[in-house]
Amino acid sequence: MDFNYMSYLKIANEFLRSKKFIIAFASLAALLLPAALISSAGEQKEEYLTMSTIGSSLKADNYFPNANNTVNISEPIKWQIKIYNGMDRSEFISLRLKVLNSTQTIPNDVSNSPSPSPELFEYHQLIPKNSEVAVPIEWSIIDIEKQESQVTIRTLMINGEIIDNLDIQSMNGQDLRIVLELWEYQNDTSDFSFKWSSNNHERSVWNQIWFNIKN
Amino acid sequence: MVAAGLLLCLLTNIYDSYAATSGNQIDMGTTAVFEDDEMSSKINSALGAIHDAEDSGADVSTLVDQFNIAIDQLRSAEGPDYGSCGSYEHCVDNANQIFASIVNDAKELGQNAEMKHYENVLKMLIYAVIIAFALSSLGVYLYGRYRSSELRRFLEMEVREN
Repeated sequence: MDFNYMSYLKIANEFLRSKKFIIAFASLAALLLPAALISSAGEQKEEYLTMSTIGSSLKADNYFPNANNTVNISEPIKWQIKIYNGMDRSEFISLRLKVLNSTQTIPNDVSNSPSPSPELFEYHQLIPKNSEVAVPIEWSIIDIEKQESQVTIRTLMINGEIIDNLDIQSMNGQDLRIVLELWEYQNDTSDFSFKWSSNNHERSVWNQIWFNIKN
Repeated sequence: MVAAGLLLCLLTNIYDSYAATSGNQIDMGTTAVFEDDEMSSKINSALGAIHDAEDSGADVSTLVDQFNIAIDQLRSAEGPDYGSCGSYEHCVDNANQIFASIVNDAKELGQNAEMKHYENVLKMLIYAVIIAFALSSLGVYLYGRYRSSELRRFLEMEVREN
């Protein structure tokens, strides 16, 4: 038995020291070790944030209770704002709602700058990566002021909150729009930013829906 | 001179009262508590801790839920009836406590995830070495067997003369 054991050991020793084995082992290890390291590292993918506004029927229609986009005073309008976080980490977002007339500046897709008008409503939420949230928005025009052909929105109600002292003017209550902007919190500035970066490109997300006021 | 000074004062007052009644006074549905520096730094710390844990590979879903509860508390602090907290101070205290616990929990989750990640990398490297050893041993052994069978066949060849 001892003789066999020693002879096997000798064969194994010779085998392991052989040039053929060393070359084969070194070649395979050189292939497999980097492959193992690469497979344990995370994959890189395109990062994005998306926002879509859908109507009360949870489809991209029925945005207004009537067949058209003319709204009555105190008539509640119900929308769902769907936000998807396709970034590689959870994102703290701010959804900002603005009401503009046709001449006020909207967000700029080229410079990725927001509309300079103040937000009337803001909603914050931390969204996990690869997740979608639906933010319900219910708004109505509470008070307007008419002076000849000019209609001025004075008070709005958004998700139960009264927003007054407004001064949003339009001719005959026509061509107004709700602008929804998606802002992302940036840790380095400790503030929300309208533009965010994905694969070294600056991006921004916003929606707008036109409406008229029945007067 | 005195008249000019009085006129300047009057104009300044008119401008100030105009500024106060225009855009600045819009009663917005926003959470002003976010503008507070102390709260902003707590939000920043909690968010940074969540991101660090996430980068380490931790599952941060419970931390995200906690963070959103704290944000709801801050929203309630600004609301007319303070939601379920009862008072502004109570809402803000609740949010502060949640943010503090997020920082601690995230640190622990991140460390655990990092350890698990290193273990996985080490396992993969060990498997790679074992597989390389097994394949090269098998390859060299089979090559040796093939060569010896070739040699044996050569030696056992018969020379025939027709």
